[in-house]
Amino acid sequence: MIDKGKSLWKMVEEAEGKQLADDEVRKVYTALGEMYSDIKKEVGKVVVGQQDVLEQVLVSVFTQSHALLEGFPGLGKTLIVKTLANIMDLSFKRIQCTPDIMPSDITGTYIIVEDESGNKSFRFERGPVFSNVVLADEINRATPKAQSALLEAMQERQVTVGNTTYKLDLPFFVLATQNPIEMEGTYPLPEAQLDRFLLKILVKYPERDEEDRIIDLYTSEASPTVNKAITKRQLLIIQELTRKMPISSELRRMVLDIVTNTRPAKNEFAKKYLDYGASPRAAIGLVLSSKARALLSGRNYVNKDDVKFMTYPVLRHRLILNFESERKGITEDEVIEEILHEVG
Amino acid sequence: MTRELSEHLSEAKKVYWVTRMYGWLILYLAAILGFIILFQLLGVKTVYALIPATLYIEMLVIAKLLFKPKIIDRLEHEEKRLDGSLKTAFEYRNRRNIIVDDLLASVSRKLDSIGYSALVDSEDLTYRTLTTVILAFIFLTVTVVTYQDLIMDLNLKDSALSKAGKELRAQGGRLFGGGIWESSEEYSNPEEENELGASAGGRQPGFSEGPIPGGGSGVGGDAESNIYGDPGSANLWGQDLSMELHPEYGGDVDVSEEAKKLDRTAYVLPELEAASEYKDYPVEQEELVRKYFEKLLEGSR
Repeated sequence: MIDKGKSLWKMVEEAEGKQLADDEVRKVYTALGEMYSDIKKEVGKVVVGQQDVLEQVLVSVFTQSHALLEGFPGLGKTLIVKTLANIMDLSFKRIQCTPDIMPSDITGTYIIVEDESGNKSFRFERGPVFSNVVLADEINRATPKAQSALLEAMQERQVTVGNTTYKLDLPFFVLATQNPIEMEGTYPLPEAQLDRFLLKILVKYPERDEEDRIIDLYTSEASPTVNKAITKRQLLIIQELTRKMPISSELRRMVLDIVTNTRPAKNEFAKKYLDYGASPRAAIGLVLSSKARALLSGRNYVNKDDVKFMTYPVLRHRLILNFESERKGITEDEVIEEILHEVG
Repeated sequence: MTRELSEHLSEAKKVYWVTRMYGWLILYLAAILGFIILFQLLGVKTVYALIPATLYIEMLVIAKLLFKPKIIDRLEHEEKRLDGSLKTAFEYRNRRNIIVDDLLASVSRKLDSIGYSALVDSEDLTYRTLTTVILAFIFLTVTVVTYQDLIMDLNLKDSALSKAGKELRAQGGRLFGGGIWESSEEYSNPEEENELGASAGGRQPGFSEGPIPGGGSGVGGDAESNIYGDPGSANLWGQDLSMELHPEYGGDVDVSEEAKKLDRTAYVLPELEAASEYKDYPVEQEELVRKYFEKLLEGSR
């Protein structure tokens, strides 16, 4: 008998109105490799290259976490997120963040409605946050107040308006984007809020041949269409399976070593180049994301490569560089590389 | 599923320990040989070589047992295909979920295909075996060279090597002319023996004898071409002696019945004179002559 746990299985059963059978879970587990191939194939119809980005976004989705995508304009950040939402049969909403956006524009607000008999009453009009996938485009352009509204929803998976609390639909995850240039008129996310994003994914320029294919794809007559590769129910099962992925105590110790070595008090290198290190939330995130990567890779255990690969996106937004590193032009990724080298 | 993994691990443990014990045994043998060679060169009784060799192997085994790696770590370290899966499976062996069940099954399959060959450190075993073979070869070489050295320099009669030779002789072996290998008759070849001595034109007893001091035809000299066969005669300081020499047995002198009848006093004085007269003669020949007279005296008593 499979241990179904307490949280997500029940939510799936409640949401779908039917019990989860062992066979169904087994079926999803055995078909995972095939599903991942289908997802890659479908995304590949629209997004050329960016395999690492896709993998990391999927890790974020499988771990029920949020991700921050950072990259220059025009690299396909929004396109990747939108395509994934379509492929996964999930509701998708986009919030274009601007300096004048209000929290109610995100969470929703009460509006006055008049019924047939002429009585007027307040009705809660749900905002874009009531969706499975929320794309917060250029999140650093929103005011701190609007950012907070979104980040509260991310953390609690619920929205409180007035005296009423509204639960968000599951699965729910926010994929936010930000632009590393044009910092004028922006409100950089505070560290505490950055910490709520499991991953900070860097979207890089495509390779020359990839760019050639992009040009060809988007200048030809036919526009690409994608098919659904995975259902919402299957996604929820995968999210629960991710938590069941075994990880050895040796790798858990490795994760602890990595995270604690980012703290200046514990490590000489960190002391030299960092003001602050990563929090325990980073350790949790690293284990969880390593598990998801192992699942995506078709393995039934987590290995060292998973941990090493996921260390960069999990830690890079949680390290605060000091003046010395900025003076020398040392990046977060370089600090992480050195710490990984030390930990082995 | 869990039971299968446990079975695999206990079997692997068994293989691992058998291999280690074999390795230690080889090492013990090498240590004994090494210490024997060392003691032989130092002139210490070789039987004492067992003590340091045993102490060394005991300390090594204790150290290895104290810092022994877990069988799982060992397998993981040696077999890269396992990639941490065995460790994870072992830690989750008592938990049940679809992924853990799958992991346990796949690890069992992997262990089946690996077949514990990863546990055998073939490089180390080969190295140890080769060392033992080389040491055995050195031991044999040193032993043979040592006894030949005894023949080359008979003045070493009081040294440890000489004592070892005496011990060997006391046990029925013969010392000269090829060391311990001629302790049995079946290893001697009469045809080869006949070619030794003066007929071979050499100068050293046992191998290539030359004339005995005293002028004329000495032992195996010109008087008798076949000095190893029937009793022949030799002339020593004017005396005709009937004698039989067996240089292949180490240069001992047998005195025939005829010689035993001779008056012992007749040989005493010339012996003393001969010592001063032939003081520049090669040492080994002097020794042979000395032995000859000792035997002669024994025979005449």
